[in-house]
Amino acid sequence: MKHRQSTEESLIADALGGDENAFRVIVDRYMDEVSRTVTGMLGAGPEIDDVVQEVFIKLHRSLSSFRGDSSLKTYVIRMSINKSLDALRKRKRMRWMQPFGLADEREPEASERSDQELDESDRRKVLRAAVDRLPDKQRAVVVLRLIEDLSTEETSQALGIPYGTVLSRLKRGVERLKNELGDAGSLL
Amino acid sequence: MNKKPTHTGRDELDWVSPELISSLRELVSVERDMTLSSMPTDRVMRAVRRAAMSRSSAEDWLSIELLSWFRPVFAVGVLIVALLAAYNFQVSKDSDLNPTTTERVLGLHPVTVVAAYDLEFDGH
Repeated sequence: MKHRQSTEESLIADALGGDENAFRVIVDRYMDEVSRTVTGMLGAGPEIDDVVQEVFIKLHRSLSSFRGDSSLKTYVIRMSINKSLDALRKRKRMRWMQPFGLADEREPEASERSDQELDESDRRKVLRAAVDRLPDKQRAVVVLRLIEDLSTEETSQALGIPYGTVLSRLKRGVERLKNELGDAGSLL
Repeated sequence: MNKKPTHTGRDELDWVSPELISSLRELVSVERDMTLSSMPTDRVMRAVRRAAMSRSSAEDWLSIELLSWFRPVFAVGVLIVALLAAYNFQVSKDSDLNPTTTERVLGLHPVTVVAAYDLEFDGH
């Protein structure tokens, strides 16, 4: 495919000119980042596919307004975070609408279980429950900084928040994760 | 001075346990493999195509609807203005004074110095 080695700028220009293959290369190039970010924010769930699709549909629509102030990667990741936050809000609304008895049951705290009980799957569930209990803003920073491995500067650009705010949210998020997980040594 | 470091960010994470980072990455990797459907790019491209088509067809539909409403409204509007102008013109022709063509078309009363100072105080 002729676009495989193309630069970001030429891919965007070709995609804006109606070249579907150019946009396909963009999708291919950022699929991992988008799916990781969305999964990090939402966890395993049926809406992951839809949210990933929505991110790329939005990217396709707004490509003409991309001014190149940040990298396309940062731009796409920002969209992924925004769409994930929309999905989280929707999820919360749905939870409010559910009768009390049908609300999601929370995972038991790690400290309530013995080490022997925790196999790999359990450990992941406990970790996911801890991530899910993070406030959305801290979760976004933890996902981008620790999972997506963006730099603090890139994270600050992607979330549109000051550099220092990224650091403080990361610190609070990690502290909270450690507290939620109890004795990290037994879990990680 | 508190200078913002230029970095790739790795050194700043020294205080975060590497086990926590690797566990988080493993968690997301497993969850993603569990939930993301196969051939995601193809699915995304189909969705993008569908969205683009429905969007453009919605825009087409809207513009066609607007045009179909605009044409008769415009025609009736022009007809009303023409009739009004013709009526004004006819009425003005019968008047004793000689208004200008513009005054006739717009149906304006001729303003004269006498008319301007012809003050009437009804009821006094």
